[in-house]
Parts: sequence; structure tokens; C-alpha cells
Amino acid sequence: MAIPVVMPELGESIVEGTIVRWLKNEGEMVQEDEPIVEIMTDKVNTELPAPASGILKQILAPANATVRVGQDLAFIEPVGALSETAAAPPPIPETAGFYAPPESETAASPVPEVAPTPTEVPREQRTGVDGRRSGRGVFLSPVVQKIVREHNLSEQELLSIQGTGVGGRITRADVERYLAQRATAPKPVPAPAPQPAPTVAAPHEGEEIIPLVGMRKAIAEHLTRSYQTAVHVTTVIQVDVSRLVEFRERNKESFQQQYGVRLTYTPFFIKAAADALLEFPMLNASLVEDQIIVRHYVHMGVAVALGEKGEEGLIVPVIRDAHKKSLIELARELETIAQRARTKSISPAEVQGATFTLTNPGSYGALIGTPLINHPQTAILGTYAIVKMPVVIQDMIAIRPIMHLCLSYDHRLVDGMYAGRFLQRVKQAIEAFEFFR
Amino acid sequence: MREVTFLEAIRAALWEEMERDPNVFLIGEDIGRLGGAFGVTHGFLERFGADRVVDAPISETAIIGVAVGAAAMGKRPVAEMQFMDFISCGFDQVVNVAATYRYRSGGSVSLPMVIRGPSGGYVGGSLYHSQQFEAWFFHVPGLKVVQPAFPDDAYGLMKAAIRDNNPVLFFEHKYLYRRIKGLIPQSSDDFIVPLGEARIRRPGQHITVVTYGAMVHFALDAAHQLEAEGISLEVIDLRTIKPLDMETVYNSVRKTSKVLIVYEAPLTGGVGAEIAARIAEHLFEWLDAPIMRVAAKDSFVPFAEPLEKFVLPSVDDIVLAARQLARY
Repeated sequence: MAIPVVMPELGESIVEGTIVRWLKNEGEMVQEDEPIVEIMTDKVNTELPAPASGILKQILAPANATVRVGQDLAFIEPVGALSETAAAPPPIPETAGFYAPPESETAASPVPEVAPTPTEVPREQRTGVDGRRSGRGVFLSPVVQKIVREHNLSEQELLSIQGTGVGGRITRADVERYLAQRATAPKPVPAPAPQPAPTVAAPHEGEEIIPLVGMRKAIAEHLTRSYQTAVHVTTVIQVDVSRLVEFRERNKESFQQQYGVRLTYTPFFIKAAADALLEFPMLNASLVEDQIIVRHYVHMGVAVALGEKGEEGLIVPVIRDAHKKSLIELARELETIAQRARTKSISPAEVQGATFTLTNPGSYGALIGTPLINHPQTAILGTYAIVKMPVVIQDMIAIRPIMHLCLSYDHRLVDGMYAGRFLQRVKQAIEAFEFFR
Repeated sequence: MREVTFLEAIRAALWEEMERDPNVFLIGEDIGRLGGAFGVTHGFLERFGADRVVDAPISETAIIGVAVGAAAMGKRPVAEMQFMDFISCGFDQVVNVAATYRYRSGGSVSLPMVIRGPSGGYVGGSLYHSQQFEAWFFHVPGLKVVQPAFPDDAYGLMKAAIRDNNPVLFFEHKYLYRRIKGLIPQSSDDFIVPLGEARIRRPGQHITVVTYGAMVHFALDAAHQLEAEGISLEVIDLRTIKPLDMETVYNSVRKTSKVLIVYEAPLTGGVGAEIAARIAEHLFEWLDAPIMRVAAKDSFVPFAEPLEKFVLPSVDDIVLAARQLARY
């Protein structure tokens, strides 16, 4: 019996993965637990181990194929089974068995033939919403089918509904929301003109075509949703980081020796932001349908760019309960988790559940910017490059290290003054250097 | 109203029924002089005498057998299993004798008897003091099976069980005995909770959680946690497991279209399997997600605390399953 290699569940919200490349070829021998294929999902890249020792008999999902969780990627023929197959008796012919008449009698048999089982209507002929699947191949649950039937929803209407379930599944709530909107709409909304099918472009000279898959696709979809959902506003504030810079310069070596962790600026910013978020919880909230989920704990997402030039995308590992952790704990956890993100050995659980995000474009010299909110969070704080600038202090011009803090927030939940006060709080914490209270 | 523990509620029901009806009597191991292993019958011997509070030898077969005979002759026995785990010793008396009596006698003899005792885990009771055996009896026609979760239900259902003319198995979750407190009516109110009626302990919108026994409290904890995430659970406490009140369950499923069934016994062949089957059979067209179950692993309850936690269902298990359903 061939053993299937199945697309594993790599995280609770992961529904599909993309094959990056096969590490073994068809016909090659594989050992149990030996990595055989590299898979890329929305959250992580991972290598999948062979479920059994044997020969990689058949690859069903080639490189770049996107496969749903639970589907077979390949088959492995166990080594023992190979000889078994060879020694196995020939398949039993359909006419064999106690009830099959001898071949010579078949033709003249007076026994009426068994009526053939009714053949199923081929799937493509089952049109529209009455069938088990719509023309687009989307799964409709029993209750959704029932509602569709009772309300005579056309296939076009059904296709216009944005599914919010797993893999874009249309849920009962989605259909009911649609029906409620339809009932209150003054007249039927004309169906959007059919989109011309996208043509697969052939690369011109000097161009290359890269399929949008895996992490890039996830980022594209996620940021589009974020941009379309949240009402983005960005507020900027200048922070004088003299004391912070001085402290770091003075202590970075002893810190490394004493705690075994490199002292960077980021843990200070995490600490300042986490403390301030407890005072300004609306920036740590989520708007879900008509409810605001306000959190009194901080799971801090920290954006980590991947690849030397950031060409491999971006991942946001999460520091849980950041509000409870000391500066040293934060520094240590940040280093571990960022390292795991860069080496792609991070687990899906470690990139889920953030309530707020910190991004540090300052690390590549950016002076100012407008970060995009990580939906369904409400705000993201960008820490920008620390640059020496002339500033006016007590009517005198001085040279000070200055950093811009840029907070993008969802204006649906948070107004300008609230965001501004939050930034003031963070600024105050950094300038007054309140970290070792 | 008076505030009592779960255990005291059961004790009050037994006491008041014995005061009300001289046919009611108790039989069990150490229930008289000792007052029961958990103290449920503390003080009963002094009040009602040794004829009505019978200390039995260590033989569940004898205890149940005596109860069957007495019930057939018109008494209303309440037999205590020191731990419900040991009802297996009297299994034949329950399923072949008590359950079939009315049928065998052509309806001329009924058996108004109760078999009650502590069941369930989460107390470090190990293998033989932690099991949930309700599914065995759930399978048998002619029996009624009850497992309350709150003092008022325990009180009202015990009274109903004693007054019922059929054999009733009454599972008392020992984890709840002294942990859970609540108000029960005064004895003069003659308060009864009818057998076979579920109760919605927490109304909700998104997912129907069907459960009973200690798991009701776990489900309520999970519902409280998930509220913060915008996921609203409707928690149904079955209270009586047999006969099942499917109408209450169906009405809720018609509203939510998503079902999570939670029970403490091992997953395979549990009460939840029957509930899932009935929903699938009768309400298929109302479902918007697969019916899910959270139950114990198909194993025994280990003594070591971390292992006990691992085998038995937890609040976290319920939260995770409900999140999965909500997202589906």
C-alpha cells in the first residue's frame, strides 16, 4: 500500500500551502522523517518529513502548485511493500465469485441483467446553486444551500458574496447579511460586468514573470484587506533620544557580557509602547463587525524583514504579554524570535495573536513614513532613523539625536487627540528614560 | 431560598423525600454509621433509623438486587454506589433485571428506584474513582440517566428521580460536590425539576454547546473567555441524559447552525456521538459547519495530575474547538 504524503496543518488559520521545491525526485529512496519537500504557507516556510521509508513513487503536486491542507502531495511505496506487490496474487476479475455465472453461460443466461446503478450527473452539468457546488467550485454548507434555495438566489448573486469562512467559504452569516442588504437596497444592484479573464503574460525581453504565491500572496491579500478596511491616518512626533543613545553606548558591551544578549534600541521601544498601550487600550483593540474588542494585555508583533535586502518578504513574530516583561526579557526574546524568523524555523503559533505591531524602518535609515496597519489590529508604531539634528532648546540651537515616531491608526476607533496623547506618552517614557523604574 | 453546596443540595433532596414518603429508604456501603464516603447521608441514620438507612456489605450486586426487589414490592429505594465506577459489579442487576422489569412483567410491575453515586474526574482520584459510565446505561432501554451541574438542578432532579416510577441512574459529579454553591428553594416549595428537560445556562448567538455534568462549568468558562473575542456560545445543560431533550438542542442549532458537543467520558461511543447523529439526521439542512466534539481521550484516567489533565477535556480544548468552529 502506498502511503500518502499529506499537506499538513501548519497553523490554525492556514488553509493551503505552496510547494517550493521537492528535495527528492520520483523514484528516489527516502527515509522516514527525512525532509522531502519544502512548503511555503502564508506564515512560514517549512520542510516536510517523509511519513515512511520507501520509494517516492509519485509526486502529485509539482513545484509552485498550491495545495489545500489535507490533500495528498505524493505517494511513498514502503520498501517492504515492493516485494509484496510483486508477490501479490493477480486482481480478481469482476466476474469471479460465487454469484458470477460461468463465462459460457453468461450470454445465454435467462437471468435479467442487474439494472445499472443510476449514473451521477457529471459535475459540470449540475448548474448553479442547486448542485452541491456552485460553478466556481465553492463549497456550500447544507444551511447555506437551504437559504439559497428558499430565497432563489441566483448564482451571480451568490458569487458576489464575499465569504468570510475558512478559505473564503460563504457562511450562513454571509448569506444572511447579503439578504438583509438586498432587502433594504432600493433596487437590485446591477451585477458587475464580468471581468475579462486575465491573460497569462509572456515575458518580454528583459522581464521575468513570477507567480504570486505563498508569503508574497498572503502579504498582498492581507495588506489589501487592511488598507480597504481600516481608515488609515498617520501621526508623527519627534523624540530626543539623547539619554537612550548615551545609555546604550555606555552599556552595550557590559550588557552583552552580563546577559548574553545584544543591546539594541528595539526592546526600549517595545517597553515604552507596551506600557503606554495599557493606558491607551483603544490602540490595542480590534473592530470586529459591530463590536470593539479591547485588550488589557499586549501581544507585540515585531516586523522582521527577511533576506539581506528584504527581498524574501517580511514576517511578524509576536512577543506575548510584552507588558509584563522586563527590558532584559524583551531583549532576549526579541533576539531569539527574530533569529528564528530569519532562519525560517519559526512556528506558526509564534506569528499569531499580535494585538499591536512595532516596525523599525530606522534600521535601514528611513527618516519618516506611514506604516500600514496589520489588520485586524488598530495601530502600528514605526520607529525611524536616529539622526543628529539641530534643535532649539531654551532658545539655543543644540545638536541632538532625534528620532521620528510614526503611528498609523484606524480612525474608525481612534481619534487624533487620543493617538497624539499616546505618542506623547511614548515620547515621554523614552526621553525621561523610564525603563528601569 | 437557601445557599448550599452541590452536595448539600442532594442531601437536602434525599432528606426531604424521606420525610415526605415513608416508602423511601437508602441502602449502600458505609452510608449509615459513617454517613457516606462523602458525607451525603451524614445524620440520616440518627433521624430515620437503621430500617431506612441500610448499611450494606461490599456487594453492588446485592445492593442493587435488594433495591430491585424492594421497588417491585412498592418501596422507593435509593441505592448508593460509593463510587459510580463500581456499578459495573452490579451491571447485570441494572441492565438485565431492573431495566427490563416493566417489559418482562407486561407493564404490571414498575420499579421506582434510584441508583446514585459520585462519578467523574479532575480530583486526582485515579483509575477506579474517576470514570464517567453514563454511556453504558444510555444505551439501555428502560433506564433513565441524570447528571446535574448545579445545586438547584441536583435538588429538583433528585426529587423527581425518587418520585419517578422507573429505574433512574443519578450521576453526581464529585468535582462539583463542594466546589459549586447555589440557591435552592425551601422544602415547603416542593420544587421539582422534571426529568428529560434541558436548560439553556447561557444564551448565545454563534455556536451551540451541548453538554452536561462538570463540563457545563468548563463550557461556561470557555464562553466567558470567548466573549472577549466576539464569539458567543449558547451553553445547553442537558441535565437529563436519557431521555434526551433534543427539542431544546434543535431549537438552538436552528439559530446557530454550529454545534460543539462536550462530554467528559472517552470520545468513542459517548453520549455526544448519539447527539451528533440525531442532529445530522434531523437538522442536516441547518448546519453551517461540521458537528464537533470535545471529550476525553480514549484512555483511562491516570493518577498523575499532568496526565489526568492531558486525558480529560479542558476549558482550553473547548476554547480551541469553538474558535475553529467560529472561523469555519
